[in-house]
Amino acid sequence: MTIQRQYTLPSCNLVLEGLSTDDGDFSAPMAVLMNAECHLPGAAEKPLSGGREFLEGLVAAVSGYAQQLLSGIAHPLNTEEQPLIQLKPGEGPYHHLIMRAQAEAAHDSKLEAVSPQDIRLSTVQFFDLLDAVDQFLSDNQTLPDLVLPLRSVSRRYVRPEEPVAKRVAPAMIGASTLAAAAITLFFVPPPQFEPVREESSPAAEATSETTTNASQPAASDPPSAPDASDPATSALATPDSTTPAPATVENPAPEGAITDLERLADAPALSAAEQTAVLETFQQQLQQAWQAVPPPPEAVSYRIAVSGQGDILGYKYEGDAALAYAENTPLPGLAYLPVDQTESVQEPVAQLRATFTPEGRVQVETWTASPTDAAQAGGVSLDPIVEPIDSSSLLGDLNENLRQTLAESWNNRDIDADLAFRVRLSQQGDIIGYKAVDSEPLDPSVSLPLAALVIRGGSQTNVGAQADFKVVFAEEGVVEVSPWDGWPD
Amino acid sequence: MAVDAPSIQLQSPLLDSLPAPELAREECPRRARIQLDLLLLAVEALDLNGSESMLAATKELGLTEQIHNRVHLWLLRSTNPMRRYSQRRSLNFAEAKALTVILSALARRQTVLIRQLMLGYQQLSEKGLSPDHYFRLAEYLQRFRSHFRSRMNPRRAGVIAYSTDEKLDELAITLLVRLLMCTGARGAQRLWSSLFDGEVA
Repeated sequence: MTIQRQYTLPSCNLVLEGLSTDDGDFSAPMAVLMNAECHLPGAAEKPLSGGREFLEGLVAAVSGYAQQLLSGIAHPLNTEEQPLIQLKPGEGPYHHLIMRAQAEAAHDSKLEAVSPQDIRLSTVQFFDLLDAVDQFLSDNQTLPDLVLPLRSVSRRYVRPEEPVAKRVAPAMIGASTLAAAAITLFFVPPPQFEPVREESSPAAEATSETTTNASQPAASDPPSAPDASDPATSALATPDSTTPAPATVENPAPEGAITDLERLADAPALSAAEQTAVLETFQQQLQQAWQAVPPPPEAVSYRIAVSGQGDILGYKYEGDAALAYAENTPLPGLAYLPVDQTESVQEPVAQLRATFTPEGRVQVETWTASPTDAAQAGGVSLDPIVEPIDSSSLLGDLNENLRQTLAESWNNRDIDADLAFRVRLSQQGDIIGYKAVDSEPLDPSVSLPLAALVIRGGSQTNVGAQADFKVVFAEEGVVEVSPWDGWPD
Repeated sequence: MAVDAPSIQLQSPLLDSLPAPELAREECPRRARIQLDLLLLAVEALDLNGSESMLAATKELGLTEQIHNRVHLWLLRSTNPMRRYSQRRSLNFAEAKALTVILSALARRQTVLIRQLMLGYQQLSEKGLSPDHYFRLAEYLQRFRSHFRSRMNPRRAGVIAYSTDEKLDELAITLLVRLLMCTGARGAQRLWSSLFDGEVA
């Protein structure tokens, strides 16, 4: 029995003609489709028509395109071959329904065979077509075997919103930054762990005292020998001070107070002139640093090795009282702690003796073997002149130049009493050396320009004509200069 | 009659017609949440009484189980990340289905207006005229713009993209087309399926 079904909407009319399987029953569903016609008034003059293939293609294309309109994501068609009907978005509110010419139709009318049919649909027209299709699909009385389940588009078919390069960029930046950091840090040496060095113990000092004599067996002992109270070790120690060694050990000095002078055994001595200069600055330094609280019970003296820059490289006590008082002097604070205690010092040093008096004065003098011998304080030893200057005019020039130089460079003229020096000049007017006339120790607060003016190394050579002058820094702030031997006749 | 078993919560048959998508977690993806809220916004722009209609439709369709009241509806709509007061909660499938069904029902009620607006828009664009020449369309666009601007967070990148009137008008027309598609015989199913385009495995 032939059945015709119509789905009518304002701008679309879908007409299906088919047969039902059961002839007698009017309510039997249409099972076989004979012909499908789609009238699109206003869009296409002739209705689109076809068989089952046409209807299936129409349903799939319309349904897929409607989903595309709803989500904005293109629905891929499952069929691999060119679909019979395609829908594409057009300009503005329009859509294009493109129907490929069917093979059967091509045989019937050769004229229409070639070009596909392109129908422009407005949105409302397309919606009517869609609704007709949906009504047909919902109608289970018509072709119930033709169903089209709605499927969401799989993630695989969706093109990512951002191009690959843009998505990969952050990862690439991260990786390259890591690589750059790794390369940079490759050149940075790993930090080296330095264990905290143990402060030298009294026994170490006792041992190290022997070092002035390198042939002593104790010299080879490590500075941190642990057996501080071991009499055997003490017996080996032969300090050059007047105090016997055992007393030193029994009276241990505060830890780290005293630096050994062993390393300084090989150090060259500073020149006499340099030593004098160092001595002056060093005395001031000590006087300023020493609080004299509590004052020492008696005058205590220390043997000190000082570098050309005035740094204490090592020091040691002279006598029991000095050892006991060491912690109250500025020496432990000023002492330069070497990185490697066993390494010997190669830079020139000045050997000095510093005496701290109960009155709060610091006296620094050049170290000699015996304290009684310290007569050179405040100057350098001046050998007899080999070739004296006799010329009266030259002497006059040198005299005047020296006076001017000293007057210009003497800044702090606040002194208590006249200070007289014997100053030796070369023929060129350079100060080669000088010596205080009276061996009174210099007041540390007094700064005289002589030390700064000495030509370093000049005293080591007595080549050329030289002359001595008497320089008096007068209490009134005046410099008086005259030839030591008087003006020649 | 003795009741031994707990009462089975009967789900509206309307929701049963919407199959659960194959997603790893049972919550709506970001695009679905944006889409639902924007479509509801378009309905409000079409219908002055839109928000009341939504609540009324909730009761008529028997969806009070999913959408309890006005505040709950607002909470659900605020899962849209573009919102000024966006909620960080997710939208589960039942809630999203309820919103979809309501949208479809409201759109169907406005079918006549939507078709008129679409036809008008089509005629205007054929003549190359701006939407201002058709009062109803201009009104819809203007209302949509003000709704959008008052409720969306202007600092969000997704909202900045619609900073101009032209862009917002384009969006409003796109939403109108989508609403038209929702008015069909299978509108709710189509809308529901489209929400998960590009999200399912």
